[in-house]
Amino acid sequence: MREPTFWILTALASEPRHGYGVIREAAALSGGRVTLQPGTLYAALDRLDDEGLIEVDREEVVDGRTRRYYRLTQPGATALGAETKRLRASADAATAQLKRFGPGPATAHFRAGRLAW
Amino acid sequence: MTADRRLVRAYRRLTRCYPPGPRRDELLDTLIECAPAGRRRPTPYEIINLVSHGSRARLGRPRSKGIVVLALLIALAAGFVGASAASRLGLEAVGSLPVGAEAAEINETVFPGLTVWGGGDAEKIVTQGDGEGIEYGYAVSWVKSTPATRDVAGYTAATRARLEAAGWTITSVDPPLDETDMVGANPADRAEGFTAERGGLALHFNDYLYPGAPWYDGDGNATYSIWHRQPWWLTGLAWLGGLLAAALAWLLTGWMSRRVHSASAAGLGVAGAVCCLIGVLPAALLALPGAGSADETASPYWQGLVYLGAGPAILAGIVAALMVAVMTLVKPPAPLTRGLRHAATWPGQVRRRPRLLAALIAGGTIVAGLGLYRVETRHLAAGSCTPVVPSGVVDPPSARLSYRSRIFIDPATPAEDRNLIEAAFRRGFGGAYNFNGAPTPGFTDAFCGHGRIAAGVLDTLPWYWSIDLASPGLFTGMANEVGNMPGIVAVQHLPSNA
Repeated sequence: MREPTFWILTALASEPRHGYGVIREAAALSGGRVTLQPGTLYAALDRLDDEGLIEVDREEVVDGRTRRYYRLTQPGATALGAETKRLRASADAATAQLKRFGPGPATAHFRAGRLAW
Repeated sequence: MTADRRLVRAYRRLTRCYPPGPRRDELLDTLIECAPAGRRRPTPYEIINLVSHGSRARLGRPRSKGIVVLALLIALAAGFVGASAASRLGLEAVGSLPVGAEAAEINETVFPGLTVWGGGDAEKIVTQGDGEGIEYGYAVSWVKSTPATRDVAGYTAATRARLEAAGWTITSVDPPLDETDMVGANPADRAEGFTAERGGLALHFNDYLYPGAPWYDGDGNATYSIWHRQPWWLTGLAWLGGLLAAALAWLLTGWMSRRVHSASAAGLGVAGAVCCLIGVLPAALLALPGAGSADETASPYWQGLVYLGAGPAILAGIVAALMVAVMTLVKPPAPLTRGLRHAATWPGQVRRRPRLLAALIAGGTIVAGLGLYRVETRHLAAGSCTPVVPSGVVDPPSARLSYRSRIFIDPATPAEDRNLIEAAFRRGFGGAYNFNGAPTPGFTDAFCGHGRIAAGVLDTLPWYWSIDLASPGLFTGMANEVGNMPGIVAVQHLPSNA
């Protein structure tokens, strides 16, 4: 699963959201690391909808424009759960390896960078 | 939050990259919500993101990578066809090859003081001598051998110097004459040449001397071919035509893809698309840059469409048109449905007005009748024919750009004289030729459009060669070569469509 997909599913896990809602929630949950472009977001939403991982929850009309809300489906929740398990296993493996790194305590420095797709 | 109006307009334009539907509105809403305060226009990154994802969204089938590959190949093939068509049409806007004062200036530079034959204008695209490929049109000019031109090295060097002084740039020099594998080659044979350019023109000069050649073949002469270099705007036009056709093909592929849902229909669509690609892509591959000749025999990059036969490409076009037509009938686009609903009221109106119906039927009958009458009278006229025999040198203005010519002789001309005439028109740059003596098939074509000629009349008709000229302007020189020879009845320059 690619990272934008992961964050979109994660953003939809708590409640149905519309496009901008997903972008804002993904940015908040990732600590500002993930900035989804609307073009990228809707391409991913189309794909996830086609795969049955998300579906349209409802439509609202705001300022004369249709705002569509999406929600996670049960298969979507299962896929996100599986991906979370995989990421945790990867993180655990890396953490175990880092403990064996070097003479002193493990010192890994991460610089907070903004990723964008 | 109220976004800048210009920004909203720009975003709205960008959402048009997406297929028609609620997505455009939804996307616009998100874009406006995302825009930070004070933004006046979309960022370049946003534009690229929306154009690329929008173009992809037009293809539908969000999970399929195959549709993207197929659409890319179709766009490539359509782009090639579009660029080829634009190139061919654009060629018509390229001016004439040098004539009049301009031709006189070049003749005087290349062949000062000599009588120059040939020159003139040429067709933009001509069929190659072997009839298989095509090449850009060019005009050949030549002079009869003189003591000066027989000094091949000296005359070529002097011509180069004269051209350079007149503003020409020498771009390449022909390789030295190599007769290593030639049976009976004469060590005294000489041939030299070079290519030069000035402005939009290119010129290939060639001087040769074969001292051992029989007198009737001529022992050499000096020639130059002149042609147009590809103008920059024609390259631009080709790119424009190619990009437009590719974009249109992409949109059409998407339009079809979004309408097809069942697996069998999708399979049929892919099969049709692959058929179209097979019809066009081989010709497009031939257009890839390679070791093409840069002289007067240069071929356009789209020659594959002719070389491989236009049949597959036309078939591909028919298959594509058929697919679009079927799709339009099965799932008509909304504007068409509205139009059809409006048009559907017409037959009812006609039925209610018997006079209008009668007038329509009468009009249709008259048109059909006139058509039939024309076909029938042409058929009847073909029954009888009074042959028209040309005489002297016939060079009508309608044959100015024609490569076709005929030389008529008295059937009683002795074989030896016939051979000499043949050698003479070959000296005068007649290319491929064939001889027609009665009663070979097609013999009467030279005297009658269609129809029969009485047997007695047939025996009195002259025999003739049909000759393809290397360039249209060579006719006068060829007529001059053969004009006064014994047995000649007429030398005729034929209009291309005659």
